[in-house]
Amino acid sequence: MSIGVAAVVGTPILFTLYSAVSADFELWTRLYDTRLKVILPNAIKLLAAVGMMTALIGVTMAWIVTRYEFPGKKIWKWALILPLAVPGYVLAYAYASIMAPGGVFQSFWTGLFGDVVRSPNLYSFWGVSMILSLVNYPYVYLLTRASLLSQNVAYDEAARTLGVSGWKRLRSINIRLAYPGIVAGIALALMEVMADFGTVSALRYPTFTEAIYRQMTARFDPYGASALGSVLVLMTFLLLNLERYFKSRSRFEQTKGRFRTYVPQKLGLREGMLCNFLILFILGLAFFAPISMLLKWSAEVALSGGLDSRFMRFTYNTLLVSAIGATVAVALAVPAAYLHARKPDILSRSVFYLSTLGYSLPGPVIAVGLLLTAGLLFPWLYGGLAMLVTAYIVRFIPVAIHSQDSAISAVSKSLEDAARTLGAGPWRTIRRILLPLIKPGLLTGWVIIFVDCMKELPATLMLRPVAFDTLSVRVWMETSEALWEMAAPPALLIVLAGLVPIAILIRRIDRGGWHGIPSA
Amino acid sequence: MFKMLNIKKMFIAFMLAAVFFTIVGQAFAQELVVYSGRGERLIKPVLDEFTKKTGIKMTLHSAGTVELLNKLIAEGERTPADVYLTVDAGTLERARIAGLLQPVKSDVITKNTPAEMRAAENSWVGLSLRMRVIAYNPQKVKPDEIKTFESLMDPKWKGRLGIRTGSNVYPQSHTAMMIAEKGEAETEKFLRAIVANAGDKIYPSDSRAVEAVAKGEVDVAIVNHYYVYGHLRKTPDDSKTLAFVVPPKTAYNVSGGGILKTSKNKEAAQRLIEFMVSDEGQAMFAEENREYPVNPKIPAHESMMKRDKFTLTPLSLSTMGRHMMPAIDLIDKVGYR
Repeated sequence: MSIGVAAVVGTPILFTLYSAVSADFELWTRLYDTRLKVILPNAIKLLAAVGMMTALIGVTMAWIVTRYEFPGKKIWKWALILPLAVPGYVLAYAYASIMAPGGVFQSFWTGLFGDVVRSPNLYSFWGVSMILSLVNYPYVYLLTRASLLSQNVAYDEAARTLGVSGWKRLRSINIRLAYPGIVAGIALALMEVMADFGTVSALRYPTFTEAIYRQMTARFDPYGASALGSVLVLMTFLLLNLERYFKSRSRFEQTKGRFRTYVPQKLGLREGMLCNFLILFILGLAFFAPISMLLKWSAEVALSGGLDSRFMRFTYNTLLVSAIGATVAVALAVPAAYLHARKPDILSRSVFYLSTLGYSLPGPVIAVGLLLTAGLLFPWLYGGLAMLVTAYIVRFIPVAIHSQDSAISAVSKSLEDAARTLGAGPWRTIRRILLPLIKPGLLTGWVIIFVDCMKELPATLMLRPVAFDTLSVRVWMETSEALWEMAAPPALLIVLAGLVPIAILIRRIDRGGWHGIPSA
Repeated sequence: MFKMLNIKKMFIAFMLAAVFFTIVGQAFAQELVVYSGRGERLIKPVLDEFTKKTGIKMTLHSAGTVELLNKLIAEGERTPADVYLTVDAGTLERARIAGLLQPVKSDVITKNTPAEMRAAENSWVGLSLRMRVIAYNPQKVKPDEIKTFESLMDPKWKGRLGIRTGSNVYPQSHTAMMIAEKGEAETEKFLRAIVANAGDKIYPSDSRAVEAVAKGEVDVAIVNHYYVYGHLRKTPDDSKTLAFVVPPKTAYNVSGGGILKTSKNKEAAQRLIEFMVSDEGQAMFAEENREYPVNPKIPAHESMMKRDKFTLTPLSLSTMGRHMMPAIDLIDKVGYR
């Protein structure tokens, strides 16, 4: 049965790769001249900039919150994760309207600088980098924080007795030891950047996802689109393996000797306020400012009767298709996760790995692959929800497989063995012994996938049935016509939904044993 | 909490519902399904008005103009669409050539729409008129410097010219019209010159190009006329740095629509098209976006340039449409991204 799952997930990916490889050389040269020449350097520049900025923000915040003690820390250490609830395109849209000509920001800027200095342009490389960094720094923050918390203070003390200065200790010991966490966090953030479609499209920054979407829709060139997609798959594949490599190294550097954690240093009033100010600045930019704009506009729309039956229908559509996607994904994940946890042979391991690849694939690539596959093999599926749900499954099933895999591994096999010796068949054992025990893992996976489906944009745009708009599609359509207020209620609903997995995440971390967002 | 819900039964019921929803398509019996490339904000009031008058319900599916053309081709006979609306005549002509559109016999259409703005047998009909113009900054540029599009080929505009990306229908249609008028060789020279002058100032949207002129990022840009009006409506102060000239016999385009051959509601679809070319529909259609009604007897908004102040090329849109594919190929050839 897990072969079936692998088939579903693997086919679009393989098709994409196959049509890219079999495309003739002339296609590649044409693509290079018209698209790759621009988007490849753009993508690399973006990855470099976002990598550095998320590292700067994430590591600084993690450091402040783990090594120091100051008023407000207890709240801030969790609040710093909040930006994860905001999809990139929502943040981009919020800032696009804040900074629009004639808007709040423009008057503020001209008030300060007059006409001398031109106001910064959001629709630029730096604008895109900033937005993507603000949205993704929590990955670096979380993983660096975990690393820093698990460091043994012995090294630091030893260095101090040997007379090493504070800065040098910071660089060569503390940050050094935290490398695995930092790099893993950056790799995750960069994977999100590679997959991002909404932000770069909203801010009109030409990179892979946007080019694939346009190649598919404006030029109807699925082969060109999948050629571009295969380059992207290659890049994400590299990033994915980088992250796996560093995750597997995350423990090896600590001695098994006496382990003492750092005691956070209490800060004086001035330093404490500085920390608060810094954190408030980052969170203000990344969360509070845009959310308050969204709240304001949503209130305006609600008051003027804009939350009508159409809006209800969009919400219903979103909830429906996300629920279907999450349920089917969780169900299909069970056999794959079970086999991987209990019988880790070549087959189950490759199924596991192949499905994980889907998570790093951007929506447009999956949509193109599905459209090509369905066009050839299942044309009767076209037009219904099946295509969209399949895209969701391909993209998000790894979340379910991983969380179930961890949960199943934690259950002792002897329980199942006992049931088998008492005469229960394999299915009965799974149903009545295992599933009830891993219920929390199942539900967590369901919730995360549900919210991910709600936020998904490009595959939804390309595969949705006629007039079946979801909340993310509405944000896209309203913002493409600069109807900032109208886009606020759907955007707000998406963010509110996104807060739920964050709450779950926080509770899980608090109880300990956090190993990072699902990836290989 | 979860002990109270019978998870298994809910799950089965849910899966059945899921299967039902995903396999079964949607039924659109008494409704008109409209695939619209025109922005939802602009087309919805017109469709709502039509529904109010006739009681015929509309299902609107919005996406990109060319995206919808490809969707229609891929769907073939299975398409639920009855009417296809676009922001570009070139794409309509491509749809007609692909055999998608239904010829229509209608006195209303023939009476209200000039022949050059609709297909020969009314397979598609123009609904609102837009011209390709040169937006400029009056503080930096004198109107005599930009009398024609060809004047932008001069190297003095290097770094001062902004253009729309070549993967969009507006420059593609403009190029098609140029090929029809002057031939491929001349058009290729023109494209190469303006691409060289524009450099990296190739904008993803006309509105961004207009904004660039107003803010001083470029001095001139080639855009559709209504984007200038649109920008000035939002930011009236920019009238000091933003204006436009219409080159004589300029290229033009229309937003328009046609009925799908596969439609099962052709009479209702025809009523919709006729409504949109009627006086009332024309007024609605053009007023909100500052375009010109295709029907020359209907006045445009009072703030707009009067019709006798500009001239359009005598070429018909059908002619332009026939040159769309060569235009797209030429754009690719010169590397106009």
